[in-house]
Amino acid sequence: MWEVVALTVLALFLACAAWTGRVRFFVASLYVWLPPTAAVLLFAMAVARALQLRGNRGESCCDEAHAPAPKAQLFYALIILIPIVAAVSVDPRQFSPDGMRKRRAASIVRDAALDRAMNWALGMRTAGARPAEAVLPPEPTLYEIINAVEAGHKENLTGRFVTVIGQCSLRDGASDRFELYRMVVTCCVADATAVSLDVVRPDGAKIEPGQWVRVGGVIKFDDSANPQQPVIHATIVTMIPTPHNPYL
Amino acid sequence: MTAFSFNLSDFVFVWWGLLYEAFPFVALGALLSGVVERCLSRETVARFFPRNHWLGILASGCLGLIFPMCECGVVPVVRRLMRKGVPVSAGITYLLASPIVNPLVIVSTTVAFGGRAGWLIAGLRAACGFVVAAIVGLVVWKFVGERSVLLSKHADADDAGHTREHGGSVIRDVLATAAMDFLQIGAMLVFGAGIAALINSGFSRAAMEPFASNPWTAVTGMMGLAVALNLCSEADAFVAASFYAFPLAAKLAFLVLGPMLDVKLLVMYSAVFRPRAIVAISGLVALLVLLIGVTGYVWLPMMGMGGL
Repeated sequence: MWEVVALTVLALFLACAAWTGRVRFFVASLYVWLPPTAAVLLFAMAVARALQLRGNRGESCCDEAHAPAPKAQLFYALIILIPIVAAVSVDPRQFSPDGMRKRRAASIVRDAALDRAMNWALGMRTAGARPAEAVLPPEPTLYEIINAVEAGHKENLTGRFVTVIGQCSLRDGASDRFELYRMVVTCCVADATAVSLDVVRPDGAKIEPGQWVRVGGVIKFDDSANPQQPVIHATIVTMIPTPHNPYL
Repeated sequence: MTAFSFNLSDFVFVWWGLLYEAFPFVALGALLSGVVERCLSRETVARFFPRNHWLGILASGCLGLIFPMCECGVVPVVRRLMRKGVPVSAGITYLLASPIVNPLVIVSTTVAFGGRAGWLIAGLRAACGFVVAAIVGLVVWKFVGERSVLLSKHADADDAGHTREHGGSVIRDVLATAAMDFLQIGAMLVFGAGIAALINSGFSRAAMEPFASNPWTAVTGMMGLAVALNLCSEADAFVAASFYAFPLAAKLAFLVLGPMLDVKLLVMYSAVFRPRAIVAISGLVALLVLLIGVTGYVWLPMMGMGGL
């Protein structure tokens, strides 16, 4: 009977997570339908198993011969219930700032002059020849800005005003700037990769680690340590609630 | 930043990320397993499965193209199929190949690496996955022994004439069998995903960068990462592509090994295979992937893919 209890509790937990929208913090938006589907399947399994146990009282079905012993069933059921207890007690919704830093994507080091030379040699139109509007949409994501830089559109981006949203991470020893980051998730948070840009904060703007903000500012390439790295010089930083789809 | 540090919130976050993603597929796999148990007799399996062992193993390696399964969902299905008379060697080949030789994974790998290079890398990944799975299947058939790799309760299970009389409806029987399969495999998944989350949430990816310069450390480092991160085979290519410092040979080792062998899968395999068999199969898979990765430094440039 333990398997019926474990499957029912798990099904209810998955259904609740889907109902409350908690699932979207854990999996990519493409896959949010998976946990409620599993909840339906598991609930059906639990009901069928309960009916089978009631119907087979005193009989030995061949399925029972293959089934684990009652003690093993209890053991398996308890293991399945452990993460539910952990989720209820901890209730995580996002990575800690340290967890984000562990997931930073390495940035591609590109030589713009070499890129242009290669494009010229291969007879391709240089990336920089594209009009500024074609490089970025009106409200780009962090990912699109980074991609545009890596595609060689540095000149078109310099001086452009952008509005982007993301989470904040404070840089050690740099009080005038912070890191604006987003997580790129393909399936679930286990494959999350952080993409980030430096933001020079306007005077008086208060920043909390992990806080969601909308930043408006001008893109410049004035980082002395890495001139290929774009930096947003913010004129406005607004705190916003967690977006419905927190991942890129 | 240290290479490893523990944070409870991050650990539970990644643990549930893995479970939300994997539970549905294990439930689906358990359901298919219930269908196999209730609706497929040994006679039917014997009639449709190739009698020639070679053909059976090679066909099993490609079966994922028609019946795609992810690495979590495939475990209960293969367990049940082997009990129904599918040769163990063919079952293992399907188990290892289907998460790679699989249209969804081929497309996701192509998208992750992009353009023509994406198609080439996806093709290489599928080909290497097929070769490794088929070799392991052949070794199990020729050298290890078909029944000696299974846990005794599966090896001894005799489902002959198992078009048996079931008391209830087909749907009830299928679901009830699926419930028992899910309980066992699901518990293994929870345990394995817990270990996986511990490593995945605590490990800093920046710690990998020093490994990139030497072929041996690059390949073994990426193999270790594949085992430790426990990524879904549809998502791992995006993570592999973000390791810019590593050459394609090392990324290929990551892409081929991960869906066949990771911490959560090792724990799940323990519901099907004997511990010695798991060690032997894992060792052989790792050795073959290491061979592909290290020799890749030679044959990939010969194929014109050295710069990728």
